[in-house]
Amino acid sequence: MIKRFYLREKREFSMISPLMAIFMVLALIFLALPVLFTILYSFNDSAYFAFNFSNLSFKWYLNFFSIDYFQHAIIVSLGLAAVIIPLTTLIGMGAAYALVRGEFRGAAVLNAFVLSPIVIPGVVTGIALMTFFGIIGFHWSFGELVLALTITTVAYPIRTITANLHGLNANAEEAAINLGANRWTTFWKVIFPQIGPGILSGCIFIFTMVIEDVSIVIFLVDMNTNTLAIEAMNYMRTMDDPTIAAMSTMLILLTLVMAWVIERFIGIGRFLSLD
Amino acid sequence: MSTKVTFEVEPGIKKADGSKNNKDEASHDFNTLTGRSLFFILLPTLILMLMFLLAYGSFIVTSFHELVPGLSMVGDEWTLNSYKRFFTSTLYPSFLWETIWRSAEITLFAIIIAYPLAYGLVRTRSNFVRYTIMLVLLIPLLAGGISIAYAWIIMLGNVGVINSSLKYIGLIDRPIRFLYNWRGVVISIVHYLIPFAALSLVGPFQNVPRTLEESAINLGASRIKVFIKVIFPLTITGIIEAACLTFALALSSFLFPLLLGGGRVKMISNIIYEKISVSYDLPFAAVLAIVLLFVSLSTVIGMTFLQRLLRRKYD
Repeated sequence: MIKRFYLREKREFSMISPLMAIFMVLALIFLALPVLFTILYSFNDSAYFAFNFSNLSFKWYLNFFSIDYFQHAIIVSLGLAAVIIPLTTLIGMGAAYALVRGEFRGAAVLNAFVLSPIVIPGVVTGIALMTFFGIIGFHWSFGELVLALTITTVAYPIRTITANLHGLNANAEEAAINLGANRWTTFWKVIFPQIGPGILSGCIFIFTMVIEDVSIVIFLVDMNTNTLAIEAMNYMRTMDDPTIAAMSTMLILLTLVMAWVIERFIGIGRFLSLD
Repeated sequence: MSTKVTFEVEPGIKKADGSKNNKDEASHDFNTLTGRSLFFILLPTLILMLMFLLAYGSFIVTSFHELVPGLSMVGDEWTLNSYKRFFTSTLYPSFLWETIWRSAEITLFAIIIAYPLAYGLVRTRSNFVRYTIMLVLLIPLLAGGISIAYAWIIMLGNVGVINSSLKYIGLIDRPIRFLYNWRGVVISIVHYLIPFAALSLVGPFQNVPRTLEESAINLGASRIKVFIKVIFPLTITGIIEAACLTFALALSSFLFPLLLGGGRVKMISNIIYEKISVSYDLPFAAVLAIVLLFVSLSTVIGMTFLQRLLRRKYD
């Protein structure tokens, strides 16, 4: 019995062939190494890359926070996120609910719209919106950014919340309606508490897009609305020191925090739609 | 009813409220959301879609105009000159081809590297391996392009990690140039796109039954033979789907050529940006963008077609 169990375990463990395992490890190294070196370099005392990390320092972190345009860019990016995340999530929630519970012509069009950010290059969307805002005479840069990013990120909450709604047991909803609750009450009291994971996933994708996007945003920013990614890009084109390594390290740390939150409330596997 | 948070725009709901014993009506109301309430919850999305379409409309219209020489203004006359300028020039179509070929190269590398990761993610029994892979895929996805671009600048510089290590071992005397040419640009985009490729390869692997692989091995097939005869044919449609996604994303690369190419290596998105920021030639930028959009969309449509063809062959 024990021997049989052992054999089964061994066979299952060896499902990944040695050759595949080697490629897997190489791929992991390829992906992880640059990230690890960024973290190391951010604590480097000298501005030039060197292997002797004898003098650990936080000076590039201080430098990052002391540069006025980075301070301003952090406020702009966080401000955008604070406006766009609730707005987009609410809009996406309505659309997702309509897609799952409603019957209407044009659902296919809506689905195509939901997939569009992947297919349409960011630069194309960027200049299309720039042209459009120019023609209608809308020149408030922060507002342009909010509209542009809402249009391009609304697909994320629609997708994550739709997936979440499909997984729900419809009985509770039906019971609420049979007991006399209207659809509005049913939504907020029965459905909303159950789509937390979908909403959280959507918010994380929106946040990431708002913080990292360059190709759309670059056509719409002005001197006062340069986002963090734009300022970081400009800095990298003119300066060569670990200030951006410090910023990247903080973003990576934020990523790890988000990964922990995802694992705690959604499960990373589910977030990446693996299970 | 004590809780009267009514959704007043929906007459059907009110009726159901009043006559909730009518089972038919209640179940109809439950199953489908129709009428005005549906319209109102979809309205914000419809407005966004309308703006999106208007934006595309206005920029397609712009492409049929021309820049007034001397003034950085779009002229009023309808003309095909901006298109003519693209198709008759030798420079711009070659930029487009370069972008397409480099994207193909990037896609190939990304799929090759992502393939074992997706396989490991599906087949491993070890939580440690599973979480390591997921975390490594999550970082580029969440930390963003800037961090990845910067990381590769550190790795690939003339005194960067790779060149210093190779020099230290004694393999090279002079540094290999990775930055300001295609090598660095391709490597960094490959890294950035691997998560997208790997995650879309996971589905196809999940569809290959574990038992099929096991029985092939038990019947004496070698690992490589199992891969060629079982795994690969069963995942080919998935590979095509992943390749399609990766290729579409690679085509639209903007940040990586800008930062790692240092102005010497440009993809079509960079040219589009230059047309706007340097010469403010909006009509011509629109033409380039429409051509890029056309390539991107036809890839997706072409791949869907190919996938259907292959599915018919293998099913």
